[in-house]
Amino acid sequence: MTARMTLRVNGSDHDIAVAPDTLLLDALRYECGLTGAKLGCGTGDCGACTVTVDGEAVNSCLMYVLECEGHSVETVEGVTAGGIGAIVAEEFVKADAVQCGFCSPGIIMSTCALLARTEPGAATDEDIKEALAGNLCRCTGYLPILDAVRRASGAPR
Amino acid sequence: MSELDVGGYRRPDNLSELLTLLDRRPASVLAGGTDLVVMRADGTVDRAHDIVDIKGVPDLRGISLDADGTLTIGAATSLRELAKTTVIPPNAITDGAALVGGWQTRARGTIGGNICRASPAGDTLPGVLAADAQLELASTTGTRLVPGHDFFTGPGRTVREPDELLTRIIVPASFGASAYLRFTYRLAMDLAVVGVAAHLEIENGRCVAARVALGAAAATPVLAPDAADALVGTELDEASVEAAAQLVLNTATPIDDGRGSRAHRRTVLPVLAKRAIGIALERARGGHQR
Repeated sequence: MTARMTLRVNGSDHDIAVAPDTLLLDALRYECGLTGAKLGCGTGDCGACTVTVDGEAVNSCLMYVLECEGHSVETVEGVTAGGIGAIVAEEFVKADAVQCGFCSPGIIMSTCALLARTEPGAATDEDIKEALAGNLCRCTGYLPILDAVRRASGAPR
Repeated sequence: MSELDVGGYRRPDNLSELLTLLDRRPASVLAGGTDLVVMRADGTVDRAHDIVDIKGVPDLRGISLDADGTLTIGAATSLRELAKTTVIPPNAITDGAALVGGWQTRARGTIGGNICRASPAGDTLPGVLAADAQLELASTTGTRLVPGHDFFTGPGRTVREPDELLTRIIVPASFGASAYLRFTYRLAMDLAVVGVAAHLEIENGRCVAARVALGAAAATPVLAPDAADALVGTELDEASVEAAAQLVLNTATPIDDGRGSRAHRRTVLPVLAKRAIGIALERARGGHQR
C-alpha cells in the first residue's frame, strides 16, 4: 500500500510516494535527497536523526512521514543555510565541537530548536544540557559542544 | 475522515470515527509513536494492523482543572506539555513526565502512550497510582473508568481491550501534594532502575492520608499499602518517614536484570521512598494547592 503525499521540508514541497510505515528519516534521505539527518540507533536513543517539525526537535526515526502531512519539517540543510543556524554551525567549527561529525546535524537541530525558544544569551547551562540530553556524541566529547552552544546562544538574532 | 485516509494509516478527526476504526479491525493506536514505531519495526506489534493516528482528535489533548479541583489530562497530551504545565503545581505525574527519555521523545511521547505501554519502569505510572487517578476507556459501546491501580496486569499488559481507547486520565481533587523520584545511572535517556511516587495529605500537622507507589519493583507499578498506612496518623517527623519508607520492601518484588540486581533494587527503594516522601512533604507544607 503506497500513497502520495506532500512533505514540506525547508520551505519546499516534495511530492513523494510513501507506505504507512515509511519513516520521516527515510523519506528525507531517500525521497528528498536530504542526507543530513542520520540513522544512528533507530530507537530514539541517540538523536542523530533529529529534525524539527513545526519548530519542535523530534527524532525522525520515531515518526511516520504520513504524520507530517500539513506540518513543516526543517533539517540541518535548511537551518544552516542562513540566520542563527549558520551561526550555530560556525560556532561548532570554531569550538572544535565536530570530530567525526555523525552526531553534529542532530545536535545542531536540537540547538536551533533551543535557541528558537529562548532569548539571546538567556539559555543556561542547565537549559542546554536538557535540550541536548537526547543527542549522544561518542567521539568529540560534550564540553566543546556545550561551549559552541553557549557562544551561539549569545549571538544576536 | 481527513484526506490522510490512506490504506493502513488513518487519522480520524473526531472520537466517534476513531472508536469505529478500533472496533472494525485490529489497529495500532498511534499517539506520539516513540514506542509504537519501534515495536512495529521489530515485530513486537503486528505490522498488518492498521495505524490509527489519534493526534487529529482535539478532545484527546490538553490539561484542565475543574472548579471542584478535579484534574483531567487528555491521553494524547505530550509529556513535554505535562512536564511544563502551569495548570497544576509540580506533582508525581509531572515529575515522571519530565524524566521520560530526552527532549525529542518528550515532545512526541504522550501520557496515554506511556500508560498503555505499561512498562513496569514507566515513569508516569507510579504517579498515576499515587494520585489515585481513574483511567477512562472508551469504545463504540460505552465508557468505563478503571482505577490506576487496577489497570496494569503485567509487563506491557493492561485491562484495555483492543477496541478500547484510553481517552482521559482523571485525578480526583485533593488537598495533598505528591512527588516522584527514580534511580538511574544517567540523568536522561535512561529507564528507571527503581522509582517511587509518594502522595501525602496533611491536616493540623498530621498525615491524614498517604499513598506510596513503586515503579520497576514488580511486574507492574504497585501501591505499597504498608508504607502508606505507617505514615497516616504521624506528624511525618524523620523517624516516622524513615520507618514507613522501609516498609515499601513488604510490597517490592523486584527482579534481577541488566539495569540492576534484586538486592540492589531493595537497597535503593527505601532510600528513594524516604526522599520522595520528603519532597511531597515540602510541597504539602509549601501550600501545594489542588
